[in-house]
Amino acid sequence: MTTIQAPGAGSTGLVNRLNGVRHRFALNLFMVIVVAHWAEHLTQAFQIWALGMPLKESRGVLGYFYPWLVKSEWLHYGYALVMLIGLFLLRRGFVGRAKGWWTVALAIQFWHHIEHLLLFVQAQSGTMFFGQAVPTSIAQLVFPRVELHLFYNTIVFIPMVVAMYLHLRPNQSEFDRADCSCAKEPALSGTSRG
Amino acid sequence: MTTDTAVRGAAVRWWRRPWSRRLGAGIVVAVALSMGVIALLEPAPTALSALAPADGAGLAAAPTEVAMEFTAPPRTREYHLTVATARGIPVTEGTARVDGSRITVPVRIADRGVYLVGYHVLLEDGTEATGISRFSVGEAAAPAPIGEPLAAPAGHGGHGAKDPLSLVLVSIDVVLLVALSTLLFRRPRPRRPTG
Repeated sequence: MTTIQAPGAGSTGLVNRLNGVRHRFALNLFMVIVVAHWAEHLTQAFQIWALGMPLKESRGVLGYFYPWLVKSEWLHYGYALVMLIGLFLLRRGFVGRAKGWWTVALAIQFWHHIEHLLLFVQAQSGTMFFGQAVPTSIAQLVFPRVELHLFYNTIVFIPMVVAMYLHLRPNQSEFDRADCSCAKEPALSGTSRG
Repeated sequence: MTTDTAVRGAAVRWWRRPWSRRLGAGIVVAVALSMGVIALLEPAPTALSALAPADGAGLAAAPTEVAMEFTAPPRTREYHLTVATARGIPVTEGTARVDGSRITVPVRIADRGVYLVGYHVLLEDGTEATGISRFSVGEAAAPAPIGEPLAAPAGHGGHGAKDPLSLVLVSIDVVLLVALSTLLFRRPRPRRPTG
């Protein structure tokens, strides 16, 4: 009788555990944050399109009760930062095709974060860059549209969902190489991840 | 990877059992619905709705006060309201004060002409409104409005806009969100080896 060792059980360090034995838990927690953020956007869309609320009053749920969160950029910057940290921290747990898509999401989010950092610094300091009257990011100089960051969030979200799909539905090679317990074991293969 | 049927049978974690996943999904949905219901039932936050006299107003008689009007009694952190002639000579008498759903300041206007109003208010919820406006007294023609609409200049406008592109993006995100939620709550089996 052989002994099962939980994946990542021999690893030391928080990052190793997050990408091994705790990868599934960490990913689920990260996804809850992602879903909550999208719930904010969808609420905002509902306020604009279904309720017909003015744009400046359509601030989602948190922004509805705490307008300063939106106006001071804390909400957007905080989420961009959490996204960047999560994408970076949990990347090592991915293998194969999933890791490639996850890395694409990380790269886009890195630039997105830089943009938000610019907005955050302007909002907090009261000093506007690029000769603008309101906080403005670099991309907004070229595409001055307020939904620019909705676009950013979408193009980060697409590879992230693809990566999640491939991570949870790996091929045999990827399944064998993964250290985490995210993917369910094949029904008849007799393998287990404990 | 190794196999051990006995250990595998005993090692089914509680969070992997179907009932706990359904319970988790139920909690998430319940919290989301509650937040939505609360947001819809909660009265709209207080906002500056108008100025009196309005920006660009032409008055036949001089007003005795200038006011900022709100959608509800404002809970303020700070506010300033001042009125001056076109040459910058103040015509306010006393300080501004909150009066119900208005912030008012008394003015003494004896001459005809154009008058400028400067205002700034910071509410307890962080909402800020600042701007200038002008009105005329006893002039043949009303002046053109000079102030921005009643909005605070801070922020980059959020992520929403009422245009087709935003609607398309949100629609894509809804589909992705459904796909992600399905993945999380109905983990698919990995592909079987084909070779």
